[in-house]
Amino acid sequence: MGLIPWWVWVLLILIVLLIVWIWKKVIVPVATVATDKAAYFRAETAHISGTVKSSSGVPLPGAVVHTAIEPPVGDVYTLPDTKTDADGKFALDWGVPGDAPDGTYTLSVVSLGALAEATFTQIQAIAAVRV
Amino acid sequence: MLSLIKKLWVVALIGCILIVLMTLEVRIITFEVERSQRVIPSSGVITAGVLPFGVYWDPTGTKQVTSISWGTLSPGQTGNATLYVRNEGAAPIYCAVDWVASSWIPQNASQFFTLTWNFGRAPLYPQRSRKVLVQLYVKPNISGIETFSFDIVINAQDEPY
Repeated sequence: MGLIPWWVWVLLILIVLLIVWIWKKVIVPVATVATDKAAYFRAETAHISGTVKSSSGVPLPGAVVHTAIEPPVGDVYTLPDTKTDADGKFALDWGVPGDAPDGTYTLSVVSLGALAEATFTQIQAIAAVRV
Repeated sequence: MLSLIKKLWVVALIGCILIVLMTLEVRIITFEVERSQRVIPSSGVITAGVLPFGVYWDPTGTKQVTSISWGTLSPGQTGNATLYVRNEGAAPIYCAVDWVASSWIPQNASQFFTLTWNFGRAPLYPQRSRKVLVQLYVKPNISGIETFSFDIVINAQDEPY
């Protein structure tokens, strides 16, 4: 201990602290997504929003967001790609098609390799007529 | 004892190291973001025509299918691969799957296999993806073949097959 100058110890400690700090800062993207409602009628507009941030919570602006909506049956709806804003947020609107089948839909977004999913329901409008 | 000047040099050195490491960290972040945005070109296993469509592993279209590994199959067994065919054009398309006869290795192997998929006859409308199951059936009478490879072709056209 006595042979090593004090400043070497200080330097080593600082380097270790820096390595830990950098390790925490290295980006591991985390995506989130949600819809404004849990259920929609046909021809209604679903407002989709989410975020793309690093695991430490730093917003990732300009990240391309790929979105797909998988219905209970039939083909997957693919939405145009979008990008996150300066706060790492993104927003999309999706008009529920008039021929959309009833059931649970799975909304998937992928950005920077991070996947986020949410589900919502498409329910048929029922007109009740009392006679 | 270190003189005051030497101590100042040490502090300056530590400061320089700090700046270098912080710059390095920024470069690491930038590199990570840019690398994630790259698109890996197809190796040619899946071929596409003039009608724009893509073949992906995921419904969002981020993982392009460049090859399919069937793993180890026994006679009479079927290998499965689930893909998403995505219409990236402006008109409905109809798709069919086939293999390149001349691409089989060994050349006589094709007689022992059957390739099918469940894309169906319905058109795939623009900006939609269809989840399809590609199946490779190994006939029970296969013999003399330990490993195989071949190119799968997915064709698209604007009229039903």
